[in-house]
Amino acid sequence: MSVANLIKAGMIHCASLRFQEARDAFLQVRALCPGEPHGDIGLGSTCFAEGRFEAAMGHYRQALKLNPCNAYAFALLGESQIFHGERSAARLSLRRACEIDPKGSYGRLAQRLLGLLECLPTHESQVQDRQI
Amino acid sequence: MATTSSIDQINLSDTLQTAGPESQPKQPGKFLGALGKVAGVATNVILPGAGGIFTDMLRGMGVGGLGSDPVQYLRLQERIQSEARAYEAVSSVLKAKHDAAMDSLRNIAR
Repeated sequence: MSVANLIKAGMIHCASLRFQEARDAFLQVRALCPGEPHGDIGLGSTCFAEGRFEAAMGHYRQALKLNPCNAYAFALLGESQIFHGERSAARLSLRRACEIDPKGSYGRLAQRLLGLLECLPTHESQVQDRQI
Repeated sequence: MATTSSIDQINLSDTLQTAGPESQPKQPGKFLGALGKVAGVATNVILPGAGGIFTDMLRGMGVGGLGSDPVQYLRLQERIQSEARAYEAVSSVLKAKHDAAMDSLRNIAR
């Protein structure tokens, strides 16, 4: 199976809440392309869908080690940071994604997430903003 | 979708102003009571038997319990508007996330 098809399979498994199957598919992607961030991004998305935000952030950071200019990984890292309560860090990650891909779909995702961040109550952000 | 359930974990209801004790619904005023009856009768003319459903629906929406205080209507309007804004924000994030995932797949397939 090609890498693109493996990623598609992983995404479908993840959307169908078959997390173990999704993880297996993305691990295969990582084994096939060890220098590319796709596998880690997929594994991060799976962890995020499971509600394991810290693990998701770990995978996105690993993806960013492989490609420090990956706007998609920055946007998804920012999303996980919002859900983990690290709002200041989330803002930084999302702004970085906007800088890297200002007009593309990854930048747009980051902009929408920044918009969502503004919708959230401010008092909660002060309480929940964790130390990084 | 799984992402939706994750997004649900953000307590969006906190963004909405919860009604204070002063906004407890009053008993329906005479005017609204009469209006409900008129609406019921009018609906019965158009769709026989549906008048009761229409009146119940108005009650279910809380319209019947608002009384005649316009401030309560304004509060309800604000609440509905902020709720709509929150839903719009979440919906646009989900759409952008889908588009980004599709774009990423296209880039890999190339």
